[in-house]
Amino acid sequence: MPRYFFNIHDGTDFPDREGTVLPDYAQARSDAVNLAGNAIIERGDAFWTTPQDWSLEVSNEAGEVLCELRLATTERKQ
Amino acid sequence: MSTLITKLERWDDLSADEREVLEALSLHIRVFEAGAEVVRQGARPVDCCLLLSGFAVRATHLSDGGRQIGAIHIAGDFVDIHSFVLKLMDHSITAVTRCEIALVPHATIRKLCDEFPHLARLFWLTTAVDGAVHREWLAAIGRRSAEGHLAHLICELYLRLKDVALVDGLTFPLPFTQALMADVLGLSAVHVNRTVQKLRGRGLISWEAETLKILHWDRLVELGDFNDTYLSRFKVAR
Repeated sequence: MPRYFFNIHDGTDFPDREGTVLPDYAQARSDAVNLAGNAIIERGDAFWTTPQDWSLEVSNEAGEVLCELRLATTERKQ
Repeated sequence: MSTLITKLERWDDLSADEREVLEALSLHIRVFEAGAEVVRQGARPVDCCLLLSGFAVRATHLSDGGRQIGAIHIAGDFVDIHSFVLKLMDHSITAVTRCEIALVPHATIRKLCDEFPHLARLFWLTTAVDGAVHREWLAAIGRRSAEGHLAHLICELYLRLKDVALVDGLTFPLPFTQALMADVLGLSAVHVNRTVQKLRGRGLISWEAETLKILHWDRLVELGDFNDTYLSRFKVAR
């Protein structure tokens, strides 16, 4: 089974050096959504105050980026 | 049987008669290979499974094929003693590793409970502690961060294994795949992997070749917000 690497770019996260063995790309893509959701929940309110955009890249063992999930926050004046 | 006695005596002294009757039980031992289903969800068991060696889990299966693991069992655990009173299994039991399991007939459990009310209370206690573990897991799955949840689980497994003399210092066997841990923690395998990497990166654990080593107990306890009250790890008349 192939190995996929999930790297979150938010200025604080660590690089995924080990990767995770998953059945196929479809599973990796599905897990990316799950991981992104959980990662921003863990960030909590700090997610709003992070100045830079948040992204999650999924790459294969060859280092090719297969998909990218981006999130951006905008707070309007109350 | 000695592991069960060790486990029960962690909670309260057994009388000589109680020890003797447990040691004298003629056990029907079956070996289940890793991955084998021991009891099916929906089954009507006539025996209780006493785990003699290995790791087993209780799992709830959903109609879409998903599963949530609700308990991890280790040697000395009466994995489904509740089946004696519940009769119909609402969850399954699966061997995670090769498991040696003693099948104790419900009739034997009834006889033990009738003749030794103190043993009956201790069996009751095992199910009460199982319930307490479920509550902690529910709080962890609903309210803890992934790192806190994993740290909490490691602390719990360590103490439970320690109480039946299955640890070596701060090292213990943890032959679980990340997919299995995902079903325990309610996370994706990817998230489990990242969470393990974070705990490693913080210098709290190492986890190689199915062996987990706790490198910093106090910090792991702090991260997991762990308090062992729910395991009732003290000896008192019960």
